[in-house]
Amino acid sequence: MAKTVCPLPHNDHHAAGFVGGAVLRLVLLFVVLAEVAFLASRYRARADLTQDRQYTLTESTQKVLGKLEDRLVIEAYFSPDEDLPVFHRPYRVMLRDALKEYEEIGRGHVRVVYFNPFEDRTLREKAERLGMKPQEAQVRDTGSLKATEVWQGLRLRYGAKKESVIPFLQLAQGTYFYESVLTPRIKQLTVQQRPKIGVLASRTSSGGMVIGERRTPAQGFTKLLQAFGKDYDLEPLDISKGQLVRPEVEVVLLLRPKNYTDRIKFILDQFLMRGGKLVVFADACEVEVREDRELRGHLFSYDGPGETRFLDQLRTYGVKVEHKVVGEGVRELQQTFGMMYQDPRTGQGGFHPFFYPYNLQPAKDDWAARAEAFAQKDGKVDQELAAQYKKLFKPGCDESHDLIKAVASVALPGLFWPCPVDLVETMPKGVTGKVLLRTSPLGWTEMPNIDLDPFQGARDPRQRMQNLERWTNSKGLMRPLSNPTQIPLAVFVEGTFSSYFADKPVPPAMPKKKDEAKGDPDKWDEDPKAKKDDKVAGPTKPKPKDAATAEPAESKLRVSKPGAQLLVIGDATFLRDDFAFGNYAEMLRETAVVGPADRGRGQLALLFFRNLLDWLVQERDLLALRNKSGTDRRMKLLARDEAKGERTEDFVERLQSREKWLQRLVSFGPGGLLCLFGLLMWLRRSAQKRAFLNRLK
Amino acid sequence: MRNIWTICRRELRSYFFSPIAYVFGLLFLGITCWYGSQLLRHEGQASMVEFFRLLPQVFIGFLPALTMRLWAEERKTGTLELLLTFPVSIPQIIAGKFFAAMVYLALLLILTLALPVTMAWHGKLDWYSVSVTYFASLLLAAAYVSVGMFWSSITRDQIIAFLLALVTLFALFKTGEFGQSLIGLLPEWLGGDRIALFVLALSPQRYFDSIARGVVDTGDLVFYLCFCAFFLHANALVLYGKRVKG
Repeated sequence: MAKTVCPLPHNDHHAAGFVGGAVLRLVLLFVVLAEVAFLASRYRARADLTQDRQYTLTESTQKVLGKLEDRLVIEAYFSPDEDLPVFHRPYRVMLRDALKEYEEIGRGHVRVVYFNPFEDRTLREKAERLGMKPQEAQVRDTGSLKATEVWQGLRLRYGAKKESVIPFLQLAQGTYFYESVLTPRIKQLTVQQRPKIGVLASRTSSGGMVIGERRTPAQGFTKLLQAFGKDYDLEPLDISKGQLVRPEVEVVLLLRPKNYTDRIKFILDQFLMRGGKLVVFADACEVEVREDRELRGHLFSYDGPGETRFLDQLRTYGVKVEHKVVGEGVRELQQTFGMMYQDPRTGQGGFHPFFYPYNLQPAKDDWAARAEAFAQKDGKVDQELAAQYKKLFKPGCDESHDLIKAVASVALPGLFWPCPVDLVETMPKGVTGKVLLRTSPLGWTEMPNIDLDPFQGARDPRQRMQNLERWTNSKGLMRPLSNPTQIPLAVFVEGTFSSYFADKPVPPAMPKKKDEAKGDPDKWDEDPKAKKDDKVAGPTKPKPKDAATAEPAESKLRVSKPGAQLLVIGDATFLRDDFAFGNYAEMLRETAVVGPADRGRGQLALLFFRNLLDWLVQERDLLALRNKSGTDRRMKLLARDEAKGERTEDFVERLQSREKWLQRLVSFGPGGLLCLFGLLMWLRRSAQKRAFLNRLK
Repeated sequence: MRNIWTICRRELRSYFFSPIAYVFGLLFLGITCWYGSQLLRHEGQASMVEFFRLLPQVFIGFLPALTMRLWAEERKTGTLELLLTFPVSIPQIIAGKFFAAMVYLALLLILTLALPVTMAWHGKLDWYSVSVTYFASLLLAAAYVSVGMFWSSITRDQIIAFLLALVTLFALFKTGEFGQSLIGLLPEWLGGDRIALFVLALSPQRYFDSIARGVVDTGDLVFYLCFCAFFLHANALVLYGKRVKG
């Protein structure tokens, strides 16, 4: 038995002073406990127990927030949570939580302040002035739907001068999405200098064509580079004097390598050896899209005058590029061409779509799972063959690779007349690689000097149709059904590369103008008009005065430093201005309304390119977040009876009755259980009472 | 420990052998479960976030009613003096009553599991997060119960005890919003944002929100421990005072 102990003496004299003493004790206790709580908040451990680890910000974010030197104020212009559609409210809560995480990890450098634009007219005007835009949403109001404005803009202020505004931050299912948007913004505000990307783009054979009063986009890369030059530090790779790539350039993009001299190859080799990231968009041939969708192929060589071969150079690094064109045999992966057809004599017209095997869309499908479809013999599945194919076939893209996760998880871009890109049979020592994209098992390769034009250059509409039919049939026969093969289209290699020039003499720089003109690759593919105007010239940065000059042969690097990476994609055409930005469907006259350059496909290509640039220069874990999708937590109270062809009205009726039933069960069930428990207790109590009274009798 | 358990059992018996537990329980479950049931919609999110946003507000109205009788009734019926003569220390009595209230609340919270179970039946519920939030609810309830017990020990009138606890809990609930509004308002000579942050730090709701996300932080746990310790100690001092006065 514990003994009752009173800490204070039992006498009236002391009792009088008890209240004062108690108050003092309480005050002291408050101070001590407050100090303990404060210390616990400073030196704490936390565990994110959510299923998706929603509140664990990436290391990149922690790094960015850890480097804050000034105060970052995040002004959140949010309409009240109650104004949101009920299903979106949890996402808003997640957003608030994400902001809270930023505040906590910021350790005093980050402050989040909320404003309600509906509360005050001046606040609303301020938000509008900042460029924030509300979006309309439908909310249920006493049984009826009403439209309401939702504000969800953010203004990030760093220090006194820098700020960035997000006009409307989309609600998303996971904190990681908010992080993928917020952290790069914060980084933009705080980082002094962005990584530079050097670009070496080859000139194309066509500068666009004139149709009536309109001019089609030039078939080069000028627009692409101008468009991205604003957001990224893209700059032309300055190798005019044969100098090496400047040290601040971290990434080099080669858009359609063509006529490369030995010196250029050496420059690229040394860039890779110093730990640079090299991205090659390789084409086997150049296809010009002319009036009436006439396709004219132009052959070119990767190599200019010299002793070395660019394809051999890539082989040294572990990448095998073939000077061939890839075709795709699976219809759904072929891109459709379409043409508005009009007979000039009868005036009758129509739309004729057709599948074009050299314009293909790599699919994410796991072809092994579809092996049986390829193992058909006389209408039956050859199980032995199917088992063999299951082992042989691979997915269309390697989604386990963080590049694919980051770059192409939304959709893969369409490729146009791509060339095969594979890993070499025996990888160089210290180099590892992965094939990222493949065709379906019905892929094939051809020499590029083939006729790519389905219309065969005909002008007469009937002749065009006939030629198209003949051409399509001939292509159909080329499917290698007897030997299904997946053609690799993109590879990524990294590790310790050996220099292609390790055993070769260093090619001299080209100081003489005459030689330069002879050996230099095609000049920058620039619009002459754009050249005059510096503001629209895109990635044209002032050349530094202290650009490195060509290094002597003895200083060449023979083995790459850490960080060297090489990405080779077997197509550059999909980034060409006319494909990525042009829209042939808008052109007048008899032209295609569906085709490789329609707007949707162009946007996919641009999205791919943007994601790729982000992946190359940003923290990769952040980029992976952008395309990560949260767990779908939508409830399915009932499944529609598809087999019986249930009508919508019947389904809605069933659904409503199910909803009501569940709501009643949850509303009254727990209370009912409590009552049942009470009843049992009462019965037990009554029994005890009766037993007690009986004992008394 | 045995003494605490004895007191706890005695309290629980007084709850469940009288209509109090059932009336309050039905009221609590009626409000929370009805509200939660409205979240059960086809294509709706299997998420308890909205439910747990309501819970602290229900606690504010419900817990003072539960705790008002803990000491006030003992004093009114004269059993407090008797209780204090038992060979049980005051902290043990307080702990017994405190744990009894917590067991009762835990039982009620267990009954609300009907909602997440139904959600998990029809969608993918994040059980980790939900479990942690239930734990956070218990911590918040513990903080509120300690406040209610303190006020109940102050007065013999249950209504006054109820009102005092209600006002205190409401003030604590609003402390977070008040602290938030103070940010950037106070001049530097008045402490500036430090005052605002101090006010913010006093709000139990803030720590509940933090844990309710599914993130367990030792700082939040320590806050609740300190909060409960402070009010339970104040409760003990009041009881010592009564004993001193005789």
